[in-house]
Amino acid sequence: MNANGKTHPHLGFGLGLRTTHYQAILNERPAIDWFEVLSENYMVAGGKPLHFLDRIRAHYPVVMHGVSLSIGSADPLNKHYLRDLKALAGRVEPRWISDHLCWTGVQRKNMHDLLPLPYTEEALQHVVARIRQVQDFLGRRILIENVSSYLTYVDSALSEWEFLRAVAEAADCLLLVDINNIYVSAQNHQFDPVEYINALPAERVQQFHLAGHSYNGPMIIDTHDAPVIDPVWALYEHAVRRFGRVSTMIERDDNIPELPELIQELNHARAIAEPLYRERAA
Amino acid sequence: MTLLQNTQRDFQNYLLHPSGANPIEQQVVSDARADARRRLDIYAEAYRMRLEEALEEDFEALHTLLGDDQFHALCLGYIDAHPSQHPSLRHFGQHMSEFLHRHVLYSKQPVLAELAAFEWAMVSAFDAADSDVITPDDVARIPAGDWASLRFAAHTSAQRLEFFWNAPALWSAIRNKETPPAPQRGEKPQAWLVWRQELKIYFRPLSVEEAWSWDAVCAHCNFAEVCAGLCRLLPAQKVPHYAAGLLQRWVSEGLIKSF
Ligand SMILES: [Fe+2]
Repeated sequence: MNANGKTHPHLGFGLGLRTTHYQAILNERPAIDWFEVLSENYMVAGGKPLHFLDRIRAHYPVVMHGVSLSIGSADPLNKHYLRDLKALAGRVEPRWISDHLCWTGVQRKNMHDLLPLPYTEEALQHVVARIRQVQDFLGRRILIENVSSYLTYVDSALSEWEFLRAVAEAADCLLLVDINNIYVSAQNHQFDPVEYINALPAERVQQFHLAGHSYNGPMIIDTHDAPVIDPVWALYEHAVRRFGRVSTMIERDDNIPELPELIQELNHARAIAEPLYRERAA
Repeated sequence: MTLLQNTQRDFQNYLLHPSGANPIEQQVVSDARADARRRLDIYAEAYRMRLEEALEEDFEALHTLLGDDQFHALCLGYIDAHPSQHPSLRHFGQHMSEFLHRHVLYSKQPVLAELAAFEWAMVSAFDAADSDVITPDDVARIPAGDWASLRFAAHTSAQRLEFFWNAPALWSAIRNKETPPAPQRGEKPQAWLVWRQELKIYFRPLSVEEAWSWDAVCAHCNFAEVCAGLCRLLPAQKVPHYAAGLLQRWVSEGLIKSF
């Protein structure tokens, strides 16, 4: 552990790596501190994806972010997937590897969605055992991210933040806190997002996600297709006050603008976080 | 079965078949904002939308040829018939050509299955394994006496296809935003090769002689065997020159990774 209390050093302010930006990144080497790559997009034999990733990782720190670990699935862990993930990590040497607190399918099918878990004792034991298994296999601690959700289960005995905290402590894993997902789920399920943030174990929070979203009737959908909104920035500010220097990045998966526009949005995050870092250091 | 298993099985069944009654509805909280069914439907709708987007990316020309409504209907049918079994969406469209070929309606327009096969070949070439390829210099250094017993290995991205219809011409027109030609069936199937050189994808038709030679090389025949076979298709005195020319072309196109 370093002075910050986290296992890994603070990387600063990053972006999700998207194919539309490959060439601009290599040509212009923009002032972005680091990139997050979607692991599955690079679990391929060769060609463009790995060509560009190899070159970009030579200039920027990279972290790997997966969507198909399916840590909460009742199916056995997918050994082939884990083997491919480990092989990719061997090539990319990411600063860390993350995936989501969710399940993505059972009976060997993949719904390609981050489906919510019931927050029960049974699910807790199951997820904890599997995170431990994954961490043993990869030889490193992983980060687990909170997802946006549109439903809750009758059976849930714990709140999401109680569940997430219990998972992290029992599995000894780190956390990727998606500020937008907390906001989205808080709206959809009418809980207090500040209470959520306050409940998380600060020493395990390694990374933040920021993103935009859209509406579908009364529900907010986590679409990553728009700029971050003011209430999410406010929540981010609260999170920085509580957790300190945490590597921050913006996720944009749709309506992807040119890099300068995303860099501007990233600078907004800097402008919020940096004075607070100094305040905490003073 | 455990409770978690039950819940996930029922939830997944809802995504796959949203219209039927499903015990998962009793497992989900309803409130003033939205009832259980509405909440589940958000997931069910997103499930289809995401997979359809993946198919749109991989089958652009098929999409254009069919138009939005028909392509949408095709996607819904495909999504029901072939749930994803892979951690990556990259593989989701792999059965599309076969699906069109066997489909009661779409099989009446056989060019569709061929167009899907052509587009899928390009998807496959896009991220096939990288490999070093041999160069004209490497070939020039082969001692004359070694030629007969040489075997060649094709680049991993190379795919041999066979089309009765003018699927590649349709694809090219659609890609260039031109009006595609009418689907046309040839008398005999036409051989095609799709491959990647560096990061770029190429395709071209093969003559009967070249197609035969390529297949022989891929079946690990040595150069003497390829030449012997060509003698059945060409006048014998032309064969050595023709075979050497083919090899030169393949090498310059980055199609041969080793010998
Ligand atoms: Fe996220």
